[in-house]
Amino acid sequence: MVDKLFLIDGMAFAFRAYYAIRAALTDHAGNPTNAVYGFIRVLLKVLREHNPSHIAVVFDAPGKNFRDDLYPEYKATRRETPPDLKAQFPVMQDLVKTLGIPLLVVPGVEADDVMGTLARRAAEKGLDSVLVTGDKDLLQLVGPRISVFDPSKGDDGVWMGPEEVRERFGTDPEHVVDALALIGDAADNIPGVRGIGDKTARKLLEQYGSLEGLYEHLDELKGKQKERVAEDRDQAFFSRELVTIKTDVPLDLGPEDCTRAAPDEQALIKAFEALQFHSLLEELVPGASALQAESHDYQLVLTRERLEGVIEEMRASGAFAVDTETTSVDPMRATLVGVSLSCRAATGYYIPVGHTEESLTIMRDPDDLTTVERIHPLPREEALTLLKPLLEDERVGKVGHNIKYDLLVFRRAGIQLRGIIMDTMVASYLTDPSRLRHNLDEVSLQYLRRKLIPISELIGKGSKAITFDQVPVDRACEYAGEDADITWRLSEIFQAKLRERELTPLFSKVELPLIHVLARM
Amino acid sequence: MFGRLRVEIKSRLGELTDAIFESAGEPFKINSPKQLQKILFDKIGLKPVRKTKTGYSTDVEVLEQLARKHPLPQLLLEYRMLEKLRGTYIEALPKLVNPETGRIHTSFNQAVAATGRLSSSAPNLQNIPVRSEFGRRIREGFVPGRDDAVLVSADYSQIELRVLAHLSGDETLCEAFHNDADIHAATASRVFNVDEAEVTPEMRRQAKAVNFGVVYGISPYGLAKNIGVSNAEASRFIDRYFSQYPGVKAWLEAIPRKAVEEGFVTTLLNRRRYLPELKSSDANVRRGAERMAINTPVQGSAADIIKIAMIRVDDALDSADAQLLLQVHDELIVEVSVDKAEATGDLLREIMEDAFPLDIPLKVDVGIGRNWAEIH
Repeated sequence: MVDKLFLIDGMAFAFRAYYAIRAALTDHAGNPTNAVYGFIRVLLKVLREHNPSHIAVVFDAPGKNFRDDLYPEYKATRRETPPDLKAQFPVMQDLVKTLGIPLLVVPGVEADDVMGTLARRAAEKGLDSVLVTGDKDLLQLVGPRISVFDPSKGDDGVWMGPEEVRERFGTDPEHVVDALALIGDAADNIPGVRGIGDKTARKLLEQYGSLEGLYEHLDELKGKQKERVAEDRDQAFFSRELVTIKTDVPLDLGPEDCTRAAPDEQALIKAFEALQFHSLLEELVPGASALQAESHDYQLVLTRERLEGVIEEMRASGAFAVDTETTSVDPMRATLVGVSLSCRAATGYYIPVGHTEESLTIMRDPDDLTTVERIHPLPREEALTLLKPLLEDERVGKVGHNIKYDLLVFRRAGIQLRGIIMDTMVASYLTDPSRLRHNLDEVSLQYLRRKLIPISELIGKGSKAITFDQVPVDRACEYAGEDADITWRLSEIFQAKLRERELTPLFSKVELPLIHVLARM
Repeated sequence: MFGRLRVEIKSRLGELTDAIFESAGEPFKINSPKQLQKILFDKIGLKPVRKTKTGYSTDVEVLEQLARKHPLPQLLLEYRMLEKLRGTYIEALPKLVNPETGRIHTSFNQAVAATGRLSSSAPNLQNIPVRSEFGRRIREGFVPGRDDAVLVSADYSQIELRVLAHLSGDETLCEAFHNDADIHAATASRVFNVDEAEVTPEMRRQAKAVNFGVVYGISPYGLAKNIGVSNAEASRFIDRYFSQYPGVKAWLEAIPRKAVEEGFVTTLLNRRRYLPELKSSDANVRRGAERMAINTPVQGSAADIIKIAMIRVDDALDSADAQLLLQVHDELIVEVSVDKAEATGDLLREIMEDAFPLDIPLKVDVGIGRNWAEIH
């Protein structure tokens, strides 16, 4: 891969996200996190899709910069940065550092100038750079080795090279400043020339090439336009000075120093937890594997003797977690494929009762044909007959995640699930009802910091998805064993949480009995 | 299922389409927001209400406002509602019939609504419009699963206002419920300072909006929009309400304060909802959280009560003959043999009214019918 330097415009994405995301995103303490969320999503997207070898994130430093000295009215019309956006800048900057990405905040200049300087110096060294921004001002820097990329436009983002810039402004990138000077910018209080907008500027520059060219041919203009262009001459040249991005800012580091360090995983997980970015946490590719790596023992149960032993273990424990694997998310149409049980952390059992012939032929080593093995589960009826007394025994506690589902599936298989003492989905909901999702994946991430095997890894997605009965039984065992194991562990956490929050009576007297009522409705 | 209704709704949609084109002066794609904006704001010249990312909003709220100025928005509103009914119910419901049981099984979600209520999906049976004719016709399609059975509905009357009376302890409001008064007429009489006999339907309607609005932390602006009066008038209205119900006022003011202190609000059964947004520095976010702080104890307590009632009803029904089918907000619907319908209605009433001892009585209305439309 050819090395490229990605320079991320932190300001542009922070502002954009702040105004675009109006949902009330907050951290645990109630502080708004909408800008942080939008910014970090863009950053993670760039990391994921472009995996840059060289990268830096640039923010404005607080305080005045040289443009304010040049022109005290600079940005004077712009409203004060809202306090709840301002408060989010330090959070974004900390996250950048935690991700192991160089962060540049240079006093006296703006983020644009730092990006311009780094990109120019990279180009001189023969390194390509990409300015990641939504700000059109940066298009003036585009050249053979510098392009501008806006990752949040369209599906895959929009790239702007010299050709695209010419199309947009009607002139070469080096004269983008002339266009910006003519048009002006109300938000930054850049005066420009009265009466000239995007279209006219484009026309004039197509014809005359630059400000200098335009004023040389002033006499070719007509009427009001001629008058205004002539009168606003000083303003136009001054505007150009203001919009021109500096490319010679003294910096402590060069483009070659903009390399990524290993992210501080623990700190990152903690920060994301505090920010309540649960779904983004899943995206953290390097973190995820570490979260999964943990020794466990999930066993397939294939003989009568083994199953009797497992049932004995569950009875002795007094309570256990149970989960069903089926062919549908609708419990009224689902067919039972397998049952998993767990009563001890890091262990679990899977009893297949409805897998297809093909899914019972597995290969221990995918490259070695001699490892092909045919699995022979207990006949469905025999397995269910053995399980039935255990599942129907009121005195042995059952724990599940959305156990109403399992209850319905069992009922349709002729088993009345009794003795339900915990539903970790309902408990998670009672613990914090404002949370959007209480599915096992999210709850596991939050309370156990553990990422589960996604179901899509087994059955695929969308119209090509297969049903669970077609999943090779050894993989089904890992998946189902994990669900029961995690549910068991969560049940202990939630017993304590519910007590701590004085929710136990509501849970056991109302919500748990209600599960049975809803299952009959 | 719904064969005739489908035909009728399609023909009504056709009529509406013609009327819309007539009113717009040209045919256009009704479902294209872009074309619609052109017609409403450029061609007809209505004043846009709200901006969106890609132009001007044409959502329900906007159309309702514009409907005062021009007939087209009203037609669009009806068109959209019927399209929605057609898509979500008339086309979708037949596919949701379970081949084994021959019934539609909605799924009640116990872990979704932040207030503590249940929600329903696949299909959502809690929001079929009551007042529209086609909504009623759709409800007619819901019938008992066996020929000798009927539906018995038991509906809590004003449960949220009763909960508010209980939680706030407001003497006037409690007294009204003790006397089993028409609560909206009672409020109208107090707010407009007239005898209850002189309350006009319009006064009652406005009082009703205030009664319900209070539970949702309504602002003068919101109330003004609801009942079509000026902001100043709405504001006076709310002031009058609070001077008549000082206990409610004190409670409404105390709840957000307490919530900020504790970080959460609670219901009758100690259900909790954490509201970190109460400390947001964004005033809008904060106000939204304050409304949740007021609304959650009321709605959540009502949910607590009906959940207890559901457990007891399910326990008391003879499972061989009667079955709890639906919970729609404050209402329970049971399927039972015709000859036991009356007795079941009495049973439901008794259990539901006794579900939780409030300082004031709970009241339940019972209805019996052969389909879901007939029971109301």
